Amino acid sequence: MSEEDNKEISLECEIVPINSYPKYKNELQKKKLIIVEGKDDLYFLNYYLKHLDIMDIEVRPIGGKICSGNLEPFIKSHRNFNSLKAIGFIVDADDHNAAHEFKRLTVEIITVNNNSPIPGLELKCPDSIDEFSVNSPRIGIYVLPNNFDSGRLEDLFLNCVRGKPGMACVLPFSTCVSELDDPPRNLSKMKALAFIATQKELPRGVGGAAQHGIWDFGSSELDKLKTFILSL
Amino acid sequence: MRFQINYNIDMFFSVKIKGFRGISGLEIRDFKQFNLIVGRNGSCKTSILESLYILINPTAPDLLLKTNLFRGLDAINENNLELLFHNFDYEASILLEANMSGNDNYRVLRIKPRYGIGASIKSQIDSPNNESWDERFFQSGTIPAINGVTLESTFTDNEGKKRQYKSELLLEKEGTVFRKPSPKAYVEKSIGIYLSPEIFARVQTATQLNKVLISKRKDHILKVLRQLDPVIEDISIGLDSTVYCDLGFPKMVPINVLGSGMYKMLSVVLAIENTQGGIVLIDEIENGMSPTSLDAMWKAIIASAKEFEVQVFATSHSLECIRSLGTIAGERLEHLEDDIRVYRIEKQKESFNAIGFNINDIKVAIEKDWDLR
Repeated sequence: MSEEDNKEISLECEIVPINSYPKYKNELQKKKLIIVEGKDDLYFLNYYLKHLDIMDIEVRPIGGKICSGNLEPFIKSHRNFNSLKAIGFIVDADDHNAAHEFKRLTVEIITVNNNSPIPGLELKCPDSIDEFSVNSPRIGIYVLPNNFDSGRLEDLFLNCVRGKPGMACVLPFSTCVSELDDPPRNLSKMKALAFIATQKELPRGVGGAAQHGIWDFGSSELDKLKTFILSL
Repeated sequence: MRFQINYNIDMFFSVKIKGFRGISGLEIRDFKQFNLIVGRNGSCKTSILESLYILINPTAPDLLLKTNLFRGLDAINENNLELLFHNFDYEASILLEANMSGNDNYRVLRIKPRYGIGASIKSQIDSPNNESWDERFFQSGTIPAINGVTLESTFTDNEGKKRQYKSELLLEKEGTVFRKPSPKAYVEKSIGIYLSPEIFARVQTATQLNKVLISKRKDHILKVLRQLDPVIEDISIGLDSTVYCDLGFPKMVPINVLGSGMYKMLSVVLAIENTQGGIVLIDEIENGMSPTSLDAMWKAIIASAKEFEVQVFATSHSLECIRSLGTIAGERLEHLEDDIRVYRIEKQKESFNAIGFNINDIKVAIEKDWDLR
C-alpha cells in the first residue's frame, strides 16, 4: 500500500461523523455493536447508519474473516463488551452461500462462548439466519450481499448502482478482464473498483465510495440490510 | 525446558479477594507460571499482589504491616491499618482465599478488626509525656477506630482435612505485638518475595547478591546485566554493602550510576534466583526500565524463573511492557504456550472483573493494535 493510500485512510477515519473512536480506543461507548470484517465495511456502515439517522449503534472491524481465534481476543480487548444489549455480525458470504457462512460463524461464536472469555457474558446464536437470539446480548448475523447469495460487500455495492451510467463502461471492461489468462481472483471487487473509477471523485474502495455519495442509499437492494440494522 | 507443575514447589492457581483495600470482590482463576496484571490506575493491581503476598503465609501478621510499608506508609501507624479494609468497613471482615499447589492446597484467611479505645487516645491518657505517641496522635488528626487485627486462617489439604489457626497483630503504645498462631506453631513452607517500586532502592540487594556469589552463580547474573550494558566486566559487593560494577575503568563504580533500569534488573533476577521453588511478586515491573530494555528484562525473568522454578506475578500499566512480553512469548511459543497469562483488571462501579489473555489473544491484540490495558 502506498503512502498516499495510507493518508486517505486516516483522513476517512478522522471525518467519520458518528461512531468515531472514543477517548479509550478499545472502550465500547454504545449498547449496540455491529462487528464487521474490514475497514470498507466499517466506512460503509458508518455512513449508512448516518443516512438512517441511527445513533445508538457502534461499528467495529475485526480485521479479517471472523473466527474464534480473533473474536475471542476482540471481545477481551474491548471494554464494556459485557454491557452490550445487542450484537450484529455483518460478514461476507464469499464463495459459499449465506447459509453456509451463517453456520460457520455460529460454530465460531459457540467456540468462543465455551471458553467464557468474559465473566458473565453468554453468547447465544440465533437459530436461523433471519432471527435474533433472545438472550442479552441479542445476537443477529447478516451475510452480505443479501443474506442469501454468495458474494460480498462489493456485490451489494454493484447491485445498488445497477443501471447507473458508469456501469455501461464497466461491463465491457469486466468482460475483457475476465478473458485474460490470469484474471483477478475477486471479480466483484474488480467491477466495483472499475465503477468507482468512472466517477468524478476517486475514493478508495467501496468504503470510500460511501463517503463520496457514490452508493445509492435509497436502493431497494439495501432494504434487507436496513431491516436487520433496525431490528438490532 | 517446559515448566511442569511440580507439587513440591509453591504455585498459586487462583485467588479470591473480598473487602481488601479497594477491592470489594474479585476472583482470578487459571494462574500460570508468568502472570502480568494490567489495568488502569485505581484498578487495584497492587492490592492483588498484596493479597497474594499475605496468602503466602496467612498466619504471619507482620505481612499485613509490610504491605503498608511497601506503599511507603508508616507501618505502625494504626490509621494506616484501617486502610486494609475496603471503604473502612471494619464490620465486614477481609476474606482472602487461594488455591495453591502443595499439601495445604486451599487456604482461607479472614482478617477481622480488633476494636477498643483508640490506641493513640489511650496512650495519651496513660502517658501524657510520651512524646512520640502524642505527636502521632496530633499529626494524624483522626481517631483510629481499630488498634489491631485478628487473622483466622484455615488450610485444607488434598484429602479435605482442615487445620485452623489464629494469630493477632496489635499496635500498642509499647510497640507492635505479634501473636503467632495458636494453639501450636504453624510452619509455613511456602516462600515468596515482594518487590515494590517504593523500596527497590532499599531492598537488600547486597545480601541477595551475596547469596548468589556464594552459590557461584555470578556468571549468570553478569550475563543478564550485559544484556542491558555489554561493557560490564565484573560485579562485587563493597564493605559498605554497595554493589559495584567493573566497567573497565581504573575504579569500580556503584551499579546505581548505571541507571535505575540496571538496578531494577539486578533486583528482579536476584529475587528470582534466591526464591527457588517460590513466588516472586513485582509491582510496576516496567518502572525504571526504558521501553528498549523491556525485551531483555522479560527474557531474563523467563529464563531465571524457568531455571529456579519460580512463579512470577507482576503488575504494569505500560502497553510496551505487555507488547514486549507478547513478543518474547511469541518467539518461544512452543515452550511458553501454557505458561503465560495477562490479566486485565476492570473496575465497573463497585464490581471487579479479571479478563485473562492467553498467548494467542496477546498476539492477535498486538497485531490488530487493540489495547489490552
